[in-house]
Amino acid sequence: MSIRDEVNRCIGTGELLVLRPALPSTPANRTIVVSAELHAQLIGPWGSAKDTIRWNRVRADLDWFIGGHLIVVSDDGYMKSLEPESEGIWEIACRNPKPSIRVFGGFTETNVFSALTWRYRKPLGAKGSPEWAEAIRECKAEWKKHFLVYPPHTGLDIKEYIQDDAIRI
Amino acid sequence: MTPFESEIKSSGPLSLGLLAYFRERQRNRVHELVLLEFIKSGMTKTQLAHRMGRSLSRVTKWLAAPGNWELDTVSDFLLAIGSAEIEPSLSYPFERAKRNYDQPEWLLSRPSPKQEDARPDPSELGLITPERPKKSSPSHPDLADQLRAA
Repeated sequence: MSIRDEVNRCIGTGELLVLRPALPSTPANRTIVVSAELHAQLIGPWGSAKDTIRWNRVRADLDWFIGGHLIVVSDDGYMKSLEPESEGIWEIACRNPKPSIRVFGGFTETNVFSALTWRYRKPLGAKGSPEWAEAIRECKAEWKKHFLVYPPHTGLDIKEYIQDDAIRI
Repeated sequence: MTPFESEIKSSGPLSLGLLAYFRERQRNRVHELVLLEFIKSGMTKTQLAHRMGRSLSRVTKWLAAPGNWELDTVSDFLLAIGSAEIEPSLSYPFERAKRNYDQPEWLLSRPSPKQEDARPDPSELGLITPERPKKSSPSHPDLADQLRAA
């Protein structure tokens, strides 16, 4: 058994789905698998104009990753690893428009990100708040639920997460 | 055909979703253009901040993510980084060839028919599993037993 088998088992049961870019011409240079709940948010339908705009922008941001574009890894960048880094939980920041959204997940291997949970940024408060801790706990719990004993992929260098076109600023 | 493709092919008004998707995509594309130029230049952020007459923290934040940049900001960046300017040209993403590679080969693409017992036996993973409690026999006789007795 391997984490790949677990990913496939979850896809088989419908717990996770492979996110396909909204544009058929976007290349799949990287992979994002998403929880069924997050997938429903990304695909819609949405109950309001605000949510329609908000989630289509999130979709564009996730498609950006899949398309193999340049990814900035930093506090203010596209994504970052959350403390403690050894646990392999990451956030993808979707900042525009407000309310800003954070998508949480981890890498199952280089270039394969599993996006499991999400939160609006504002209620999380300052970094290190109990709300942040709870969001990270929730993501870790989802990870264990899906991938059992297999921890998120971790590494020392950004290239161990994203093979090409990723920088720290 | 994807929902976006259908929308583009129709002559109706563009949806909020499609507009939002492309606004974000465009923002990311312009940000990438500036960032790649910055990387290519070999400049430091301090040098760039000095050249632009901005604080280091402001420039760092701008480089990290596509904020609400105005065209003026993009112009300042490109000029300060490489004495460059944008040469506008258009691309047509709906007319480009469709991808024929969707995902790594090892990855399943679709949910398979109901797989209730697809989760592996935890003993295979080296986990100790508590014994399932045995089903207790029903306190009332089964309907089939009643019929048999009759």
